[in-house]
Amino acid sequence: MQATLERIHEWTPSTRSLFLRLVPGGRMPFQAGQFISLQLPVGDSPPLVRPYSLASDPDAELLEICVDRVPGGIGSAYLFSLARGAAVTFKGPFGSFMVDEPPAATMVCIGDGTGIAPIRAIVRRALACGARAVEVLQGAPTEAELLFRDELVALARRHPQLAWQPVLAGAGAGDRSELERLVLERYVQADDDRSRHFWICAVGDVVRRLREALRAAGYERRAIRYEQW
Amino acid sequence: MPKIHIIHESGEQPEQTIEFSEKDAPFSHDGEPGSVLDVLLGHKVHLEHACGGKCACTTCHVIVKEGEENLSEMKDNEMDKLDTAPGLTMHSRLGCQAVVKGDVTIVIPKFNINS
Repeated sequence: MQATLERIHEWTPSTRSLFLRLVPGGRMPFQAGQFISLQLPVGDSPPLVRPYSLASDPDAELLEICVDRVPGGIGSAYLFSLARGAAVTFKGPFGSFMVDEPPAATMVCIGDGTGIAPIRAIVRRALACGARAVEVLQGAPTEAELLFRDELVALARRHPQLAWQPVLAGAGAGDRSELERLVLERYVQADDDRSRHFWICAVGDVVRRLREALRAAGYERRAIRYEQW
Repeated sequence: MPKIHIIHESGEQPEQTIEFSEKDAPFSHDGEPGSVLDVLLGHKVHLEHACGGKCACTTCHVIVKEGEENLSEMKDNEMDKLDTAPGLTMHSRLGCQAVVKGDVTIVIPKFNINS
């Protein structure tokens, strides 16, 4: 599929949202939380394939992806070099990180860094579908890097069933990040309730560690959805 | 040196064999180093990998015809994803996760897109 980069929102010097408009127009059917596969004209044997979760709602006019500048990363360097009007080629949508119908149990949505992108879409979809209880834990190195913070705060004000909590990196404990520490404290050590459903998205091994800790604590395998970038 | 013999179910490309040295991995930017995906891409053989070889989709789904024992053991994340793969078989693997340690024969299915 072809798209044009219509708008760039700079969250921080190293994190941007790119808004894509399909060419020649129209919408791409997808489920909140899915990703697209950018086909970038760089690397040893182009296209270089890079997946990006969609932060936007399926009925939004533009597709929104959140891009981190990765030190030494040729894909993100290319995306940061694009100006408004640039052409972008992608395939998709892909992936099974989504919410069909919100569960009767509490939804715990964990997004670290740009991992909040699909969580944002999933939370909005869950609320629109009458989710009973949604808890969002948003991890980021600093307050400035809490993408969509204002929107999530406003959503939580409007929807009493939504709780949003920022988790800044902090010191953590041992090898664990502050986000991991909080998840274990709240959802493993605090009680015996194992009915919760999890949606976890982050870059790197933290996703595997969280999934394994929750599984070991007794949560069902299929109740832990995750996307590890 | 391990060999990967590749059969394209579509029949659009002839069968081919890649011989490689494990110590030269990684051969590309994507998938586990030394995985089916990594080796194929590094030898200019196309295998879909919409998620960039991060075990987030099933577009690199391959069916192992021979030499299953010469692939790395399957981990939970690969099993979780394979559960959602169209055309799943008892001998399915994800190319991005299956690290090649000896001779194998794989089939690239006709439809390996999970859109």
